[in-house]
Amino acid sequence: MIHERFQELVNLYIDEGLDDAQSVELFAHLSTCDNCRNIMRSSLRVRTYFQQEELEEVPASLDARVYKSARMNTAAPVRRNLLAPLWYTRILIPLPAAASIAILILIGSLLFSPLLFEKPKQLSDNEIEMFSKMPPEFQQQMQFFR
Amino acid sequence: MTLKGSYSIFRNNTCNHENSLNAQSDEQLVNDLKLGLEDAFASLYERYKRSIYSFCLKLSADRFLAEDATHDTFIKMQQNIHTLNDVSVFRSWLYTIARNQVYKLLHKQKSNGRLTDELVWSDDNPDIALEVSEEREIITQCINALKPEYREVLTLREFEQLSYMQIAVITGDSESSVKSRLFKARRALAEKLEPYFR
Repeated sequence: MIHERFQELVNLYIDEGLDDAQSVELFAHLSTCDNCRNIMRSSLRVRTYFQQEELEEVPASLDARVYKSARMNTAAPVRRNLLAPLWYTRILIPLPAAASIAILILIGSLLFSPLLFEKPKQLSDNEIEMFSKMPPEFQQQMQFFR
Repeated sequence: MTLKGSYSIFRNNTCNHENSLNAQSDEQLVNDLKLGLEDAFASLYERYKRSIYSFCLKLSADRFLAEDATHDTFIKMQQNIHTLNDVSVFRSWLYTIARNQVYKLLHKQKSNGRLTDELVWSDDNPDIALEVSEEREIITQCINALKPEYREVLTLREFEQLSYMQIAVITGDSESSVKSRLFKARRALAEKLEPYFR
């Protein structure tokens, strides 16, 4: 169990996560423990191995395959690609602003709706009687203005 | 493929291996690719092909599989680029695709079974060829004998030099799980390498 703990400290040391006190404790243990020292040595060796590794060269045949497949993909309609950014674009409206706009629209609709939907004024019986007594030419002119 | 919020830890993470092939940033190229520009695909491919191929090769220890995974990674990148909302995390997004492709192909090749805490080696009794004498060859063979899940964390930590948190985002595991797996991989390697480096 004690070795398990020190082996975890080795792991932390490799990843540069040990504080000074832990480092002192670890190296004191390493001076007496072959097993933990071996893990430390091996981990450092593996690290050096990876650091010396170079990026692999990509085979020319792979380049050709990728470009061929990519061309086949782009041969398909590009409409989706053109529209996609628009579809995924986020339109950010702050909540208070959105709420204010909604309230203004509501108030506006309450104010203007009676004007828009007001029924035309009906003539009273007296007005109809007066209208019927008017000369025909005048009645025609009145109807034109109505 | 959707992006998680935690991908943001990769913002402005400079690439260790790729020198920029041209002046255009990844962000610009990704935006161009979203608009369907073929040159953008070519530029991104040329910029990342060696890194992704190396990563796939280290993860799979199989050249043919690594080629297929690299191919599929870039084609998926092209097909799904419109789902990448935050272009600043492009690199980690690409590595996640590559990782998923490798596992998909490995799974096709052979059912790996579920990862258990005890299984570190890909074979029950991995025998490293005794005839190899070069130190690098011995280490390569030992690393390749690890299960992919352990090779993965080692590669991401030691070769790509990513933090535990960054590895956790790519692998979809917790940070403590990554740490534990890394610890087990190093300890198993130490035991395996001991006879060669006494």
